Amino acid sequence: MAAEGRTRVRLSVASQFFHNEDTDTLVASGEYSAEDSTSEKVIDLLNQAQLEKENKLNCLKQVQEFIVNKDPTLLDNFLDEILVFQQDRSADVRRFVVGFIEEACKKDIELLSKVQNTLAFMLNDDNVAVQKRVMLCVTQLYKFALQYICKQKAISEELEHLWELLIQIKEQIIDMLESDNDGIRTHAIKFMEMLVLVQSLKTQDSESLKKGEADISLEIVPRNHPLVKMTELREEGGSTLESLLTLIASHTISSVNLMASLGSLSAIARQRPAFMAIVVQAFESLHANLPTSLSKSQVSSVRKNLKLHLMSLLKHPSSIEFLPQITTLLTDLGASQAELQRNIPKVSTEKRRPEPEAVTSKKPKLDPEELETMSTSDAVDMTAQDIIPKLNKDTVTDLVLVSMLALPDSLPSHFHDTYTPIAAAGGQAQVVHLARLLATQMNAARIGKGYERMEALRKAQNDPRMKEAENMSIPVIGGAGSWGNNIPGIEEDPMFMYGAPKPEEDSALKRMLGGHFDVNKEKRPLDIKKTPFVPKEPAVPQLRMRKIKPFKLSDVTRILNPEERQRMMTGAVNRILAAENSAVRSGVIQERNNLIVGLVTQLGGELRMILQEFIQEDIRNRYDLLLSWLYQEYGASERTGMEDEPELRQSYGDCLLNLMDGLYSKLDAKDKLFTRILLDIPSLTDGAVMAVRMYCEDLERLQVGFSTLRELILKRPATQQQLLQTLLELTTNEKEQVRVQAIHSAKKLHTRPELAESIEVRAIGMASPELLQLVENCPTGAETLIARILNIITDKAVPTAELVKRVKELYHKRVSDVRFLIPVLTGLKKQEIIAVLPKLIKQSPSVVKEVFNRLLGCFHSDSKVSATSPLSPSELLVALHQIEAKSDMKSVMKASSLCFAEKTIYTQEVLAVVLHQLMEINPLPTLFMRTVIQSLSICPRLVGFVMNILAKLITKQMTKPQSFSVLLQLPSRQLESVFEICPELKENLVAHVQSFTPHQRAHIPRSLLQILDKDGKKDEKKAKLDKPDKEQIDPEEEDDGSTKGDKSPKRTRSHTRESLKDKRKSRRSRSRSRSPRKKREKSAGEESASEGEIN
Amino acid sequence: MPLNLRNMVLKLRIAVVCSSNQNRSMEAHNFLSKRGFNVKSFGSGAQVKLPGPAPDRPNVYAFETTYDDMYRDLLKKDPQLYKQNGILHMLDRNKRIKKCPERFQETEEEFDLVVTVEERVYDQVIEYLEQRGAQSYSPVHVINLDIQDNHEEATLGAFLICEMCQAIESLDDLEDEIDEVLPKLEKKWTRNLLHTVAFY
Repeated sequence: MAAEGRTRVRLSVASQFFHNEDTDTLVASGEYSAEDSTSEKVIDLLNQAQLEKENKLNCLKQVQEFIVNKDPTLLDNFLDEILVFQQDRSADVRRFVVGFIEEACKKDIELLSKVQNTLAFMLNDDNVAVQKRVMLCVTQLYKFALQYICKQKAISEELEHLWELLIQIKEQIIDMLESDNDGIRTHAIKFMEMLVLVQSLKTQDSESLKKGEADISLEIVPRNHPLVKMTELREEGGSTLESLLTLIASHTISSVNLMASLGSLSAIARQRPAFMAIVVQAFESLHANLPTSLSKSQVSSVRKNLKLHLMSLLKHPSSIEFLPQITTLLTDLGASQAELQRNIPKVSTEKRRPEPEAVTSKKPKLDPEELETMSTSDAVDMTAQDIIPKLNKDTVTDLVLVSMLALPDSLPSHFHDTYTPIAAAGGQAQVVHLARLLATQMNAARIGKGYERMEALRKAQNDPRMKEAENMSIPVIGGAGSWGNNIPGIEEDPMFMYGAPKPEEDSALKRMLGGHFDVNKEKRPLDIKKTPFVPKEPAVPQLRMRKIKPFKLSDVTRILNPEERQRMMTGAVNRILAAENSAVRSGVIQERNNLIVGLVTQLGGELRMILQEFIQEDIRNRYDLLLSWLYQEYGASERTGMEDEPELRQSYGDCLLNLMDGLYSKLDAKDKLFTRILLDIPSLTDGAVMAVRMYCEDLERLQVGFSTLRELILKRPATQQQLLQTLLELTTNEKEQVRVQAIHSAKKLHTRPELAESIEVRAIGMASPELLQLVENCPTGAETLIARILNIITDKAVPTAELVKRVKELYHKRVSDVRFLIPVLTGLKKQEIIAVLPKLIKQSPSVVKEVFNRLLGCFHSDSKVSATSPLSPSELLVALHQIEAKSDMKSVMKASSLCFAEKTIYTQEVLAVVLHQLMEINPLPTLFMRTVIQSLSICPRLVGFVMNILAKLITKQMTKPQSFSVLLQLPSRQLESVFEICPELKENLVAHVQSFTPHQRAHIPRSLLQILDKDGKKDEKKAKLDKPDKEQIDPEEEDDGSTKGDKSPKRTRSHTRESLKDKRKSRRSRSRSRSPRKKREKSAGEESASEGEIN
Repeated sequence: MPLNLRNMVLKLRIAVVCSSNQNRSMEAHNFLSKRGFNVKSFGSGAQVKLPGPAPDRPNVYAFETTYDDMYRDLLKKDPQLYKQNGILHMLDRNKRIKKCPERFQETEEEFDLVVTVEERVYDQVIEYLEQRGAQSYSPVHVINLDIQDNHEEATLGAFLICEMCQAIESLDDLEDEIDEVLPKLEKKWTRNLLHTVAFY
């Protein structure tokens, strides 16, 4: 059938190749339901698995589902197809094959003979996971295999082969306990557990497995089975248990292995209560001797495990005999009394009654005289009994004192973890427990009463008595007589049996099974002698050897770990520091200082902090120490190669920095000691400079800070520049007080010629390249800032040509705001100023005032600025008059009145010059007369001069009619003199007066009229001659005078009554008086008239 | 064997166990499953306990009660309180992960790695595994990492568990190398881990 299946597989490969997906969906939806289609489906899946890579496992799993669970009849058909995959490249597929074998064999154990070769082969797989899977598989199948073999009546060759191979596999797995791989060892342990359980006999108390798990034990093995010998298997089980016991007593066992073994032993004890005693004893021994290789947390894990297993043992009825041991162990492991009570089985109350009997019945056993052989546990009991009375107070005290010598310096971590306080120390129960612990150890060390007795009995016995020994021993081990011959490992290595010469072999074997060794020992007389004299425990020989050894310092000393070293060093320095008073008394202060400084400098580290703190406690008295320390550190830093050890080089800097920190917090804010220290230390580091700076910026400490800084600048030339820089940086500090102090200090230092230069650099000068640059590339939005800067820097100094140039450029190219030029006005050329003057005077009054301040500032007698203005005051005023055409008259008037307000500058002389110059200008500036009048009002003495000028003007025939009114206002005497100087004027004037209405004329002072009347006729003629002239110059005036003369009496009045300045007012009143119908004309005339009047 | 184990079989089968399968194990379940681990979560207690109005008056449910039922129940009892202490939020999160809390002692499933979040749970898990008795003999590693039972610690704990699972899953041979990984983590976290091996 299998062959048929294979053929079909081959046939369908090609078609399957194209229908993979279809199959997948069909399988997924489970559409194959017909039984006959199952095999087809399996074929499809197998084909798919052959071809696919990723989905292979999935296909194979489906096959398994079909042929193992759904239709096991197909198993046989397809087994070979599955086994093909044992060579698959993927370890997961190979593992699957093992799993498949396991499932298949569970269904039908007969298949085992077909697959066992595969199993044996795969047990040697390269992949650990596959190996482990095989181990698991065998662990599960072994009992079924055994059962199967036992059931066979007829022994075929095949069966024989199966059994042989099974033994082979079994042995191989047991050997794997020596594997390097922890996981493999764990699996080996589990296999061994299974082996012990299967190859031993059940008893009444055997804990049954739940869920009807096949609890197969040796009972299945029929007597006289041709292949399977029950006794052999029993012995093998016993030896396997021994191996497990040996394992857990090993000092190098891993925690996982140990816990796995504990679980196995616990399961063995519960399911095969006959082994309870051995297991309890093994646990007891383990508890006292946990492997040293375990880490702290592993110890806790193992102890937890041990506790758990002991608890489960406690629940078992068969443990009642060992109740005291188990409960004591559990108490040691931290179990509470309540916990114990909860776990002691209920039956225990009934079973407890026979307990005393059991004890009494046991006691005779303990009587050594009656015993012919002894088990180890008997020996331990005996030694314990021996010890108990000896544990009196004196002995215990001695023991404690002696053992104190052997205590390590620090608490071993595993001790710390495992230590549980002894509940009732000194109580009888504890004494007994302690005695047992000691007895266990002593027995292991092959000393003590019990052990000696056991040895003696052993010697006395001979081979024939082996059976007695068997009876005495715990039922475990089976026939002692034959085991040595049957177990290959033991036979090959007889030393294994004796243990002693083989170092890795552990005492556990002897401890627990000592009773059985004599059996073999009898055969090997050499060993008998050896054994008592070769101590097993290494601790004993070590103690003895130490006595003999000659004294060597290196033996009794050890390299201190860094922490200890540091601690001792710190302690020593602390003591030296504390000895200050005695040093002072003995006059060795200097020596002490040197010592401290030397130690601290060389050892560094924490000591520096200690010394610093010590010094700071009383810094004034320990100032010498401080300085010598700093010098020492400095020296050390300088000595060491600069490149090699930057760490050392830094130490001085660090010390200083720490010191500064300390001082900052400890010293009073105004303590001048800070200054002193900084002046005294060997070298100023950057850190120290920072500290000074910190002081300067601290409002509480800035006095000290700045005085320190000043001192340092003056007295530490090496760092002068750096310090000075610091100071100058502080002049722009954000805190005002700091700034003030810094500037103050800088000023003080400025008096020193050698420092002055560097300080001035610092201040923003007009030559500052940065400033020039800034002005040149004035960023948008920064105009105001630049204007402000310019204002400030030019406030008291003349702008440099360079700056002026830049500002001009800026003004012309980018910023058209004329105000920009104000700061540099004095740096501009005369023409340039004149050019911008019209714009300048249009600015707001305050700006205009600033302009004039700048332009005229230098002319103040008290002016601090030594510079000169490009424009003299007179030139300025003249310039103002010259801009009439370009600018608003009002601005010019305001500006000129500002000039007039500067009475100290615009003196009589200056005004005279101005007037003179103005007169020279042709055409005469519009505001000329106004200026004349104002000049007169300021300096009445100018009258003569003015007259002169006017005369000159007249001679130039530039007279204007309005000047007549001026003339008319002159006192008569002056008028006379005018006429004397300029006779032709008189005629004009007379004519003018004659044109007045009588009313108007009435306002002219009589004295004047008299003067005028002197040459009345002449005047009239002249007036007529002048008329055309007048009309040309100012026709309205004539009109006004001739046509409306009688209608405007007020006008004349105003001329006489009101000052010239208030002409506007008079004009207004005049206009009011006019009749509405002539308003238009008049208003037109008024305009011209007003102009005329002003002139 | 179920058919849907295509990916699962290669991945480490992880169980995270706390006492009520609510906070710590679910936080880790959530966190680990988002990172692609094959993880399940369980409680080891006899019942599911959630904080109540007073420390001595917890809300007790059977393990079969769905998270949604608990959510509704608490919402009815005192929405303010259970909203404020984060229980409702937690239940809401949980019901998105699975239907109801599961008790570790009642699952038939086998795992490679069981992570417990406190010693008591660790004890219960080992005790149960030991009591089961060896059937398949396949090993399961049980590791305890102490995590306090509050939301913050649960979040932190989930990170640590994830880190641990990543470290363990990346091993070529879990059983041989796990003893090297755990001390490293212990040192890194300065926490003690309990670790043992049990068998199914």
